[in-house]
Amino acid sequence: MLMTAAILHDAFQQGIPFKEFVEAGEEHHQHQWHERHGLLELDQAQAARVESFTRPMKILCLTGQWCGDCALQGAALQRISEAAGDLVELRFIPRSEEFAELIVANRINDGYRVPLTWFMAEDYHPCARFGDRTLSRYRSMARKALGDDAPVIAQPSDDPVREVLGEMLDEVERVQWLLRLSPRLRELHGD
Amino acid sequence: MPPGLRARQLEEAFESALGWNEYLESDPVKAEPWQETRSQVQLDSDQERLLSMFTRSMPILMISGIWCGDCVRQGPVLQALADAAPCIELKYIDRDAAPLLMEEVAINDGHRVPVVLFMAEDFEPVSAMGDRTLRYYRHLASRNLGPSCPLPGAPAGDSLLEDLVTDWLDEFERVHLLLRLSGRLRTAHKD
Repeated sequence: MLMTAAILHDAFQQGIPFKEFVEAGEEHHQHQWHERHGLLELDQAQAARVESFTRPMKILCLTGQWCGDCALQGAALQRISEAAGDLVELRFIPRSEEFAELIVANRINDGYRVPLTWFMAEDYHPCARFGDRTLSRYRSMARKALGDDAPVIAQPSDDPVREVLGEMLDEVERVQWLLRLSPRLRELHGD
Repeated sequence: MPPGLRARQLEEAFESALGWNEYLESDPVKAEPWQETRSQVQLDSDQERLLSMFTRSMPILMISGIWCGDCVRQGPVLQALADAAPCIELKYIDRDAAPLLMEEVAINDGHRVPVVLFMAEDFEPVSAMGDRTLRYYRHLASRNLGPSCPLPGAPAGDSLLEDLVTDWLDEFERVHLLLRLSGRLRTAHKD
């Protein structure tokens, strides 16, 4: 989806895990990543959903360490990856020149937006690309920016940070089902 | 050519794509289940109100197969949403008529349909989603994997069309808010 397996494979190999990615950033950017991660432990129902996962998958997140939405989605994905053990492998790459091929090919609304996340099969074939912000974040921004004119009817969330965790988990689960029901992977795994 | 969708490529594909009536007229026999499903899709008053509040022009292109069961279920849902939002123009293009586009949006190493491409008014790409939504996958998984106890998140009854409306409306709303809050489009529209 919107990228080749070969390019994603190369980018993933250059990507780094959550902890190292956060610690490589400037100190004043690290706090928001750690704080979000601390807030986003999966609840019991979410943990049960992750435990039902069966397929290895790769997730590659193109981010900026300075970016609040990247910290929020990145921490949520890290929590999901931790709960899934070895099944869900997560890597982060910065929006920098070395990944220009990926960045230039994936503009959103004529802009180089982050976060941008690819969900891949075990052999790096892309299954989905998500970005930049989730629906709940856009609703919140629209209420603030447009007031009564905001085209939003949903009620504000009691916990906007955890709502993003739910949205990211929904997308990971969707791709898990796509992979679990994939004929080529069912044949490969004999299930 | 390097990977990535371009506005010009999308505009050309959109120009050659067909509206609902024309698309179904291209194969009247295979169109019957599309018409039947469309007659079964109903939006509730909140969903209709939300869609009537959309203000940004939003071309949407569904890469489809008129023979495809997943397209039969999801295309009429998309059409029902578009019918309720005057600023949305939804068109359909056959997978085989858009081979280059299909390469760009391959999913899990396959040319799956439907894939739905969301664009800004000037055809800048915004989002791509396919082949099935989360709730659709849960329906399929609960039917095809046959667990002895329900899957986490499995639907309780046969609510597929309502679930498809919910899932697709979320993505319509997300993309619309992305466009409504876009700096470049707010400048262009002075809003």
